[in-house]
Amino acid sequence: MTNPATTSSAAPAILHAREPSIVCNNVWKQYYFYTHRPRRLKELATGLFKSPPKKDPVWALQSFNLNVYPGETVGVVGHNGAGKSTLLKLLSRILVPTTGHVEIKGRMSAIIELGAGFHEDLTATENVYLAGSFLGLKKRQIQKLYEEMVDFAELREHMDVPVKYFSSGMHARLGFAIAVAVNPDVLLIDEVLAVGDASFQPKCKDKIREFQKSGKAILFVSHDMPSVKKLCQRVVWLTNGQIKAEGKPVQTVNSYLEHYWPGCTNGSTETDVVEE
Amino acid sequence: MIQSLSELPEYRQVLFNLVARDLKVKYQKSILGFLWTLLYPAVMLGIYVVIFGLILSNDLENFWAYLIAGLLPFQFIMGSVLEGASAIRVNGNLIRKVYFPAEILVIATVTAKLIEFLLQLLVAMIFLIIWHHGALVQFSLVKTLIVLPGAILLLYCFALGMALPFAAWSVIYRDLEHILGLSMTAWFYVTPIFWNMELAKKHLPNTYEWFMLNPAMNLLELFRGPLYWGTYPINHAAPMTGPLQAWALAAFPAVVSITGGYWLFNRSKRVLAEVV
Repeated sequence: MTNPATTSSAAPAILHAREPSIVCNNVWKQYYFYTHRPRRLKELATGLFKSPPKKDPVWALQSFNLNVYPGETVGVVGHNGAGKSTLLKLLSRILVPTTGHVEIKGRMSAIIELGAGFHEDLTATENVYLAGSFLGLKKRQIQKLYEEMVDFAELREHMDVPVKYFSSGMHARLGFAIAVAVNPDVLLIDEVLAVGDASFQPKCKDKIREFQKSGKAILFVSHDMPSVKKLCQRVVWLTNGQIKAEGKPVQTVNSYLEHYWPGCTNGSTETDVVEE
Repeated sequence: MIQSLSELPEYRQVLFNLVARDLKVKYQKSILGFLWTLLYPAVMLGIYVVIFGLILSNDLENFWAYLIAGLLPFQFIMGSVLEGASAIRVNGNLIRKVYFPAEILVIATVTAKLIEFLLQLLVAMIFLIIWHHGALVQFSLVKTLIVLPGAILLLYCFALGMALPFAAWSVIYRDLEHILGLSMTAWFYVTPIFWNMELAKKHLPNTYEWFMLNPAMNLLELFRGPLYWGTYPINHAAPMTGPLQAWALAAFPAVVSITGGYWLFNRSKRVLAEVV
């Protein structure tokens, strides 16, 4: 594939002179499926002092390299189990790479699997404070951002309700509102637009565009191909933990779609999305 | 381990929110609420006073006071280890979605237990001030205030150190929580809580010194000194009794527990977000 610096037309080349905000340097991630159950108590006793039992290794990410520069939005597409969520979890430090180097420069906020680490029994307000503290904010700082978050999520009358009564869309709205309100330098988004309704989706996209303009680095994981084409400057296509293709959004997304569903894009190389 | 330790101060706000959450979620839906914290040990105390004080009578003056001084700290150890051991497993949804040092969950659980314990201790002290004036034994407020801060610190370190490795291990080996439950019950009976060392000396004249090896007994002696005997701590299993020896015998297991426990925890920490 071609050099991203020359292909990503929307990102000015000058930005690339800066240091990348997201760095993945030859990252490998191996999972073990802990499917087996200890059969004997002896196994339990020895297992405690050795490293955990390693069974059925699977490489979720292999020799993965990616740099995302400030102001750039990179989309990640791929089928289920291709390694997209693993990538986001490695970047957000939830998981540790088996080998390789992952680095994020500046404040990072991530929306992984819709929630931002909510406790189901707590109210939305209490969860805002909990989630804010995970992002490194003090109570006073969260108080300042609170109104903005509530307005953005459009959940004012539901803030005293435990989040377990929230719909998945409300979860996603609250999660997205918290993640963007803390003004991160790096934003990792996983499928958040999929559950938002017709009024919330454009709002999210506007926010993402605003972030792009203010020079934030965004990694956008989605199965919503029109959004990927519209929002990203570069797209990475993952299969089985490896980069299959990387380049301009329209071409990469189309070749990804053609690969699984030949003929679906009718060979068009132009964006098939109607601009608003 | 040092690296993990240096990261912890950043997450003070998370710890604070998690402790508040633990206490809130536990009591918000009950009618008696926080009163349960006091009611539970009060009922246990009543049962033990009737069975071990009246039915299996013993010659300890103000037996109820003797019981309180041992029962409350032991229940703190028991609750911390049992609830701490499941802290990571029950918070799997957090560990999988946001990054923060996993030990915070265990520290939060044990700290919430500590707050309950302090409240129980405060109420117990009121009863001791009013009614615990024996001919030979009595409550000493001055000595209590001198001894308790150190004693509580050692007890907290001991309980936290015990809970940490079990919290990591029980994510992988579910049997452990059952084994722990049984072990804690056994531990309760081999620790002098409703019986005393004089009784052990009478029935096991050659082997009673082995009780010195029970770290729980050594820690309880710190509390029983000022709360029950009206003296500085004395270890009744030690051959040469003195406050210094009593402190050393309690400090040793506490230090071993917290350093060893944290070390063991850090060995399994990396995989927690994958396995939980």
